[in-house]
Amino acid sequence: MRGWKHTILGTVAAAALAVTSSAAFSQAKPEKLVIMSHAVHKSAVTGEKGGDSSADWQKRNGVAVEWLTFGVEAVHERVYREASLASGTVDIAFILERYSGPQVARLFEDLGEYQKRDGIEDFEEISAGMRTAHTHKGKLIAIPFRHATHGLLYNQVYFTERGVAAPPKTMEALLELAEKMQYTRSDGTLVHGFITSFDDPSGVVDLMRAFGGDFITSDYRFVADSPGSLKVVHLLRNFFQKGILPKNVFTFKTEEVITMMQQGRAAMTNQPFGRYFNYNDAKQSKFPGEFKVTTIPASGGGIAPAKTSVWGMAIPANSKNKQLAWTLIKELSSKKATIAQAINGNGPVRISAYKDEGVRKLVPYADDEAAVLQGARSTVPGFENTQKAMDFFMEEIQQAMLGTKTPEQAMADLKKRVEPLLPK
Amino acid sequence: MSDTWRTRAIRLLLILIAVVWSGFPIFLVVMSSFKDVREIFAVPPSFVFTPTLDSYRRLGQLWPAFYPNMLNSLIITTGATVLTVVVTSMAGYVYARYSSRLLTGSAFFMIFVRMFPPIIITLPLFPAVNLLGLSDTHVLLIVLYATFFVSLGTWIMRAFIEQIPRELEEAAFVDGADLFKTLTRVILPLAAQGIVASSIFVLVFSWNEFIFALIFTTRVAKTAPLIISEMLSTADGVEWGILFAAATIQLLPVLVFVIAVQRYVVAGLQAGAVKG
Repeated sequence: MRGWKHTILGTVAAAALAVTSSAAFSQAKPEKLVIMSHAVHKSAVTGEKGGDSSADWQKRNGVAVEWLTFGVEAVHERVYREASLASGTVDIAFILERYSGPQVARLFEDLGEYQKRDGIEDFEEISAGMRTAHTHKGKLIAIPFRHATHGLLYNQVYFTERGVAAPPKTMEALLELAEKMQYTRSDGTLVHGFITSFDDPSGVVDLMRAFGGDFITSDYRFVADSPGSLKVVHLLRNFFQKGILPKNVFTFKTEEVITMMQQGRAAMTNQPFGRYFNYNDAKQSKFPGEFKVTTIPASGGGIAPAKTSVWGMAIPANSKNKQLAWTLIKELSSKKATIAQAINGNGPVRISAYKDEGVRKLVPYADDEAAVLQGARSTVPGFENTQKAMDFFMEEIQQAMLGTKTPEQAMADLKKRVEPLLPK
Repeated sequence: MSDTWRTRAIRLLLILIAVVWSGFPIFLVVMSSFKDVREIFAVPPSFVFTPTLDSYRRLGQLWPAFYPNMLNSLIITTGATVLTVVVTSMAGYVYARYSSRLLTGSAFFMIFVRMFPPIIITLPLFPAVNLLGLSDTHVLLIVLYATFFVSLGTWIMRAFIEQIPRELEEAAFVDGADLFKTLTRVILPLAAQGIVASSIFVLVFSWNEFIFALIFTTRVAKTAPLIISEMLSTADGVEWGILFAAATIQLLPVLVFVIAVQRYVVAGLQAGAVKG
């Protein structure tokens, strides 16, 4: 009798456990995982050339991936709003280090903890600089996914026309060349020797770093008044006054630089290596196949520590599917997936991807970009007032270039404006 | 005589400047959408070229969501316009025919509310909308857009209805019509110009609105201005030809509508100008 009761109780308990587990399982396994990102991430993950690097994960887990894409600024606007809610609908958010910082750290999971429990393969291969860019208040809030690192892009036709055999090996040679490349072609096209984007400090900071200067160091010290930085402000002023930089250069955003280069109105620029494809695109460029890219040289030789910007994958703290989201991040960060994404046009965050034959076939600048990545860093480290500090920087640089202030005065004024904004 | 000639010439010149000032950028966008991409920013610019539909073809290929998003714009714009017209017609009638301190106060309150920058309103609205499950719905944008134009529309309708003689209404009542019939059969047909004028304002606003759409939609109710903004904010550089093609298509429906009913806009703007 007692045995019979035990059997019934055991069966009921087992059934209850099965039902509960099944309920828990169905709760833990949603129908879809929602990713909020820029369209470029979606095409990097799901592109045709390299294949869909999330496909196996979706098949294994029986969970679909839904991509919600927005423009660069809009995606951050939406992500931070969504992540501020008590309960969110976004499971993975792609964020750029420039829009991140300690002020948003509380909105996201500390992925360092996830990494300790269930690590991404060979995680150390992703450069420390990139990981640091997404580490705030001791929390790793995003796993690096994509980078855009600056190189020196130049028009080979113009180099040949001016008798230049090879790209410059030192920053000093680059500056001399910029003056030499300032000329009017036989068809009347005025060619500017060197142009750069003025919508943020990245173009100018590349030059400052080449001379050992910088704007704000990774430990939040203001150094735009250091000798190397001041030298660049003098130089820009000189270039502007000589017309090497166009008179409307202050209005140049990335798009204007791309257009100027594609139209053949400038000979050199410092932009992400990946622009190589835009410039050589026969549909858009007047010089398809004639653009080359190399590393930005440092003063005296070697490779300058160029600007890189790093998109990372974060898990909002209010996601209902955090563990599942982590497994997808892990999958997308694997070596195999990184290669597939690179073939789809992504800037791979793993150096090993540059050694892959498939990637090397598509990316002729693989070795140069891999070399730059070792020392590349963000334009400015993320903090609450990053945007304000960058705006002040551009304002003061422009004042110096226009001649309304001396470079020394402009940088001294910048120091007064920026230092109170820096984290203590 | 020569004074008249001179006045006319100056007037014509000013009109010409105004037309070129406002129309030339639009002309450039439309023209560029038919150019070979490499020629769009050529210096000097070319005004004679072989037109191509390549940018339009690529728009469909690379941004397949553009047309569904335009449909969303159409649904939301139509909904917001209809809702605004219904609400403002009734409100305009009340403000035109009745008076009390409360009504006067509420009329000025509507103007006051309109002075808030929309972005301020999104802050408290965002969590509330999510809580109500209204995020990414057409209904939400319809109500939001209509809300923003209820004040202006009501004032326009009030001005039009005030000009309609009360005797017409009284005659309808004497003939046995109730308030609803009087409104729909007598008042609103006579205030048609006002309805068209206020609907143009809300239509143009709803068709182009960006901030609310950005904050409150993600996929289902995403509108065309959002995807155009995405085209401008790519990580690999803007494809200008495609952008101009999208802008041209986005411009067309509202342009056609506004041209078709433009005389009502002038009437709407003048409404009440000579009344105390």
